[in-house]
Amino acid sequence: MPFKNYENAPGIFGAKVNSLAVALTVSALCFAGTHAVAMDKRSYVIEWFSQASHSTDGDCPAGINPPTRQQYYESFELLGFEPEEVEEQMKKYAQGGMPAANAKNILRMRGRIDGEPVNGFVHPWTVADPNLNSVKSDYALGFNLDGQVSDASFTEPMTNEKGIDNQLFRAMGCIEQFRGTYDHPPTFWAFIWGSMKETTPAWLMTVEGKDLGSDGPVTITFDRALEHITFGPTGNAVSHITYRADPDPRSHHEFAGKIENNVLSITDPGELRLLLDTLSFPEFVLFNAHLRMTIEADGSLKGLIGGYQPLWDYYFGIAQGGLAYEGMIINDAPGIYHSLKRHADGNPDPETGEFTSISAAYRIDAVPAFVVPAEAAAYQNISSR
Amino acid sequence: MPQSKSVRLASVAVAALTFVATLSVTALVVSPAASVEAGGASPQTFTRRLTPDQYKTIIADVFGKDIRIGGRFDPGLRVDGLLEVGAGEVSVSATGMEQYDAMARSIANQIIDDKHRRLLISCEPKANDKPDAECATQFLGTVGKLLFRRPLTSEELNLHVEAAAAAALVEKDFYKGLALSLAGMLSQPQFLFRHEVLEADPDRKGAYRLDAYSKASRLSFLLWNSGPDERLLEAAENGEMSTQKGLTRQVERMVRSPRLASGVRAFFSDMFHFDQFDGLIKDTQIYPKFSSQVAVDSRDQTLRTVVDHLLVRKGDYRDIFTTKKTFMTKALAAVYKVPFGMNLPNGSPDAWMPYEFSEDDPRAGILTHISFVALHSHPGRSSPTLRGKALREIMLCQKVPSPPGDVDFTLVQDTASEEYKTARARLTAHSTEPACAGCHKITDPIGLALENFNGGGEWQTTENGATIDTSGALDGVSFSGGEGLGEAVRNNDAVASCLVNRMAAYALGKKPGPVKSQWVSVLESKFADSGYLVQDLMKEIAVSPELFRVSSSNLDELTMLMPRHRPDKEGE
Repeated sequence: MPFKNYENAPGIFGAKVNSLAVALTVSALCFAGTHAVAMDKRSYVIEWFSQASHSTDGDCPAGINPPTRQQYYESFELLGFEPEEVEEQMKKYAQGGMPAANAKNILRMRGRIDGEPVNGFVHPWTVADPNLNSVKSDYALGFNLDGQVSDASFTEPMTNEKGIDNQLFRAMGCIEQFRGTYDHPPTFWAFIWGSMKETTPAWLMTVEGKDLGSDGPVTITFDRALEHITFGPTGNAVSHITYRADPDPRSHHEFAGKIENNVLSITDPGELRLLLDTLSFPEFVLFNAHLRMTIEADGSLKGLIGGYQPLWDYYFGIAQGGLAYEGMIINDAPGIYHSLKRHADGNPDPETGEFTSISAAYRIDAVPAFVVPAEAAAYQNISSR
Repeated sequence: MPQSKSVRLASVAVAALTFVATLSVTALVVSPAASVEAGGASPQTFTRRLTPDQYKTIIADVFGKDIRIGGRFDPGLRVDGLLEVGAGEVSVSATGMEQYDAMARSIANQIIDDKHRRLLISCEPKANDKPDAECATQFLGTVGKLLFRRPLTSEELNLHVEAAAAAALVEKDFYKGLALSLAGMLSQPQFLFRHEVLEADPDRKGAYRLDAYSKASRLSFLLWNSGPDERLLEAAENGEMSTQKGLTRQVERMVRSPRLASGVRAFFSDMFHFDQFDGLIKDTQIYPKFSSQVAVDSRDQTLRTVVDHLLVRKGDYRDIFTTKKTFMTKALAAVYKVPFGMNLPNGSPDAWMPYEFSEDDPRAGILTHISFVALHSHPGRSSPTLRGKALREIMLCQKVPSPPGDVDFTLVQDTASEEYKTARARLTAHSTEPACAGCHKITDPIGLALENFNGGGEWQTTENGATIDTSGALDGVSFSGGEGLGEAVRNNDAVASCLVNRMAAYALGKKPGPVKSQWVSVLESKFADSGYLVQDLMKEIAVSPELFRVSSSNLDELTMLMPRHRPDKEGE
């Protein structure tokens, strides 16, 4: 039965008999709209966020893309370096000091505009396409975003749904750092989320409905907090921490949704924008946002969010670290740009017809939290059971 | 790094003072017993080692709150339920003396640094690189009076002024000399111990009473948990403390002071065994919310609740077991699963806000606070037995025997048992052992009522899938849950009597014996008449001549001078 444990737990997520008191108290406090009738409301903080990969043996028949250093051989070759010159540059690269700095500068400036070197990370389309290998598999995590079943679409390994659109996985899934599974997120995302979650304001979710212990329609609200996530001694997000919702409307979005068989989902997909980390992913945007999260026995939510993600948002998120990131975890940033372009499938440009976004899915986990309006400087809480 | 000759020589001065201090500590500890054995006709002395809180409070009072105090203090000894009673039976270990010495040097060096010098040292030497007896006498005399809680004798003052001069000559720095002498003062037993002096009681032949300065100390440590301020010392000096009128005037002044809250906090921190928080460990895999911050905050939460209820609201003491009013931090709110609304920037230290549990909330009273249910639990599981034992011993002043040494705890520790899913089931099975049944009968019916709170203080309704039964009983009164238990404790006659006895023992530094029992009975009666107002009780104790009377002919009084070693034992 959904929320079985919560019905026994104290706190704002109280039993149905207390829903009126909960609503009276919490609706007055919470950022999301208030209602004239008693509503059940639960809030969460998103504690985990990573690209949803479903890597399996043999899903890269052309092979896993070579590691960055090996990729650089090809980068030099694409720049027109002769084999012996490539060897010389790679020796310098490995040597350290000024020789390495010179080699790295060539790699950094491997774009060409009118024959002149330009920063390849900033102008990736000016770098020759290394044709990174991509995933060829029947399965991917995610959603059927366009309602179609085509040769390019996948089957969802967890729901067996056909027509899954997750071209981001196809584009990135043959890069070692982006390979992973539902339970074992890709290394890159473990790294980047591990960095961002400590300093970036938390993302909040609020689910509101007549009776959240039963199947039925709900409203799902996303907000950004003013605080970053509070982590406990084990490194996991502490549940039932109070967060203030940022009044900035850019990160406030409401979706119609439902709870059915213990699964929370968006029924009326739309645009989701959440401000993220100013230094890497300034904004996380999904068009046609879908959501599917299982309500766990301990009250937490685990699942996926997906939609069409703007190419540039994604690309600059992973390219912003330049050569340093590329060397550590990215593989080949301009190559990724070309791969993303190749597999893009959403939001065609009205003039050129080029796709500007790519279907994507992300794994998100959320734990129970309290969400209060930021303007509540201090108020007398009256708890409710 | 090798020390310079000057530093080594200068250290000699302070080392000499420290050596004197160490010898004196030993002398102080043995002298009472020796004196008793010698016949005990002359005035006896009684010493109590300063608690860490008292040490810190005095330093803050005398030199300011920004003086940092590092180092570790020797552990206290809990006797008859109070560390304050045990403080009369402890000495200073060699390691403890090293720590005192290090702390003293650190404090003294801060006082002479550029930031504090002008503020704390009111005189200026004629030359910075030479001794200045006049300025040293002024500073050490003033500070010494506050630290020793009485004026320094001319011998004592001369000793410290000379030490400061000797060190200043070597160091070629007046202030360094002053710091070394001050460090020596801070390491001396006259500071580290509350050394009480008796004088003949003119009103009762053959009896003794504390002298005026010792009275001042008893008052200030009882009411403020610190040494006497200048006005109190002045009252001791001018004889005001020797008259009932003068004593009452000072007590009324002290009770009106906001510093009374420190005294109340210190007493309840001692009574509630909150020193155990220092060694509290929780398995964070089992209780992921129980951080060190939660431990600190939960202790403070209960003390804030008590102070607010007793002093601000002037509430009935017994209602601390039922009150819904408390205080909350963000970290605590997560454990209590309640929202916390306060605008604070990221990384802010936990701020406090008043909080009131709703009427239908099962939390009510301090027994449902994290500070009780988590403190009296095991690192990875709750313990109805420890909770019941703590309630009996701490709140009702009843002694629960320690378990036999050969008890098999396997059954109660098997929290994953398929057969005994709840603590109640496990304890029921365990208590079938005749050797265990007796004690568990007086602890478990209390503690089981708190089983809705796990070992980390969080709410739970099931254990291993089985619904938790929180029915319980206390001295024939049946109830259910923590709220019911709080109500039962509140209405138990022993709860007020226990507080009065504890506070009397806290003030006296010993458990009231037969001679004082009549006084305690009167206190209990007056406490009830006042509506169980703790502030009135403290005042009543403070103005009572019994607080200061000692009779050399009474064995009961003299037993306080005899070292005992009866530390409280914990166990299940």
